[in-house]
Amino acid sequence: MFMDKKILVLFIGFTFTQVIAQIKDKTQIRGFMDIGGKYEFQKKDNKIVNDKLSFLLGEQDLFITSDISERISFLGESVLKYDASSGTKFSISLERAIFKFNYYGNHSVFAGKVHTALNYWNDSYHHGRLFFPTIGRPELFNQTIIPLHTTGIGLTGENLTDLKIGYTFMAGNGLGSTDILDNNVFKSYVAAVHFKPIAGLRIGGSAYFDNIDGTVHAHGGTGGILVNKITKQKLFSGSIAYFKNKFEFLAEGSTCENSNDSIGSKITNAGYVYFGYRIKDIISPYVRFDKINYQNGEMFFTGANIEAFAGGIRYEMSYLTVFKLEYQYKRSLTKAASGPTIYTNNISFQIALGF
Amino acid sequence: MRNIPRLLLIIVCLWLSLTSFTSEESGFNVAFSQGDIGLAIIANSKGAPTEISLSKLKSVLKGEQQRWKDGTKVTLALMKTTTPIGDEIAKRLLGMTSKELNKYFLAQVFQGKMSSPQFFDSEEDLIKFIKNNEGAIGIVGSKSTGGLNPILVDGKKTF
Repeated sequence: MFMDKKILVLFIGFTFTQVIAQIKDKTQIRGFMDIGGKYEFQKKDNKIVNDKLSFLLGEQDLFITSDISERISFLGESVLKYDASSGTKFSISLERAIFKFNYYGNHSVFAGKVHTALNYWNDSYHHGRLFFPTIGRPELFNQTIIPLHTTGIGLTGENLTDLKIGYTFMAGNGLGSTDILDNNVFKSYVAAVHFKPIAGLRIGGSAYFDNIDGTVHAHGGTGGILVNKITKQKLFSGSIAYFKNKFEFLAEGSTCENSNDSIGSKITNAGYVYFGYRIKDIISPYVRFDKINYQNGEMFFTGANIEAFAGGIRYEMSYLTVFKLEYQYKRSLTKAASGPTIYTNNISFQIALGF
Repeated sequence: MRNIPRLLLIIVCLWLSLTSFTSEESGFNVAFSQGDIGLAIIANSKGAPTEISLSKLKSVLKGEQQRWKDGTKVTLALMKTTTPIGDEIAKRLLGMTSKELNKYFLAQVFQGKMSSPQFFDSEEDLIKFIKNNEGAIGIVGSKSTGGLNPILVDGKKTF
């Protein structure tokens, strides 16, 4: 009897180590980091309000992928970044945690916290500055118009038929909710479809619907006026991306309708166009134009109307090291008629790393 | 505006130091590059078909197909792009440089769209992996298939 127990313990121990070894083989930890500097010259109503050079640490992004079984996988992404409100001046945030079950072919069901599959940029680059074609995100994402993250469940598919159609349908905790609790009874809904008719080209469209509680600020931001009314939000986005044969082109546009009993229906239009050209595979000059326009009376978003131009050069030293040098001009016009106009000129550099 | 020259000086210094670092790396890759290597596709007996079209093969290698027709998960086994065969596969089959291919796979995995391929330094290890893993498919030199029957690509055993 004693021997049997010993053999059983040995057997369990052996099996456990085998399972751990197999999981370990299929688990990968990768990361991204960026550091840089920015010289900023800013004028507010013809008065210089900023004229200095700063060095900066970007985000340190750790992501884990694991093939837990033949059909089950996990992807986690956590970011360490500067946070003025933290005692240590740094905080950790869980950006993505996705359980995925591949139930048939290229079709999967997923649950967890994802980057909302609304736009090409948000769906493709996430927090990896290494992949960003420019130094920073387009203004469309900086101004909290796009709900960057959603926690919920959904269905997704990739590369279906000869047109390589992809889709994502998702229901999640709406805006203002946390990752563990919805703040109201309403759910947000996402429907996104894209297709890739030829190599390098991806065309996509998406829709996002949510009923936002009156106590909530705009998408993940802290600005905006609390309108104390439930705001219905409809957000439609479209994108065209072409990255092939030295040419890089990316254009995205979103139109957002916020409506409630107080403000009626207000439309925000935002978008950007990016062009790049690869020289000798490692150097790519590029330009990007951004434009955001809020309709008068929009209360949910507080951002200023923006027109911006960025031009730069990207030098890919290896597939894990990219250096970017960029000039950006931005004109921000606050929504209030008497509000100031801010002109900003930036010269920035960034070293984006993968490891 | 007075800070612009300082910033430019810092940028030039960074550029120069990083450029010297990468020229060594480029030289490393060039030393390995060879042309006209005969390639053969090999696969585990479960999962992959015995014949495949070149366009389908390219799609599989880019991680666009997650499962074979019998439901077995597709697992890619590739030589590292620092080896002559790995470099050849990137250029000839996928039309990318080694650097582009590595970045492509990293991006796809980061987006959660495919599992990371298994990369190998030696063909022996790659062949052993394919024999031991259902659904695995890989590419080796046409003279070293390790006793596995190559999958026909557009009717040809090697290409």
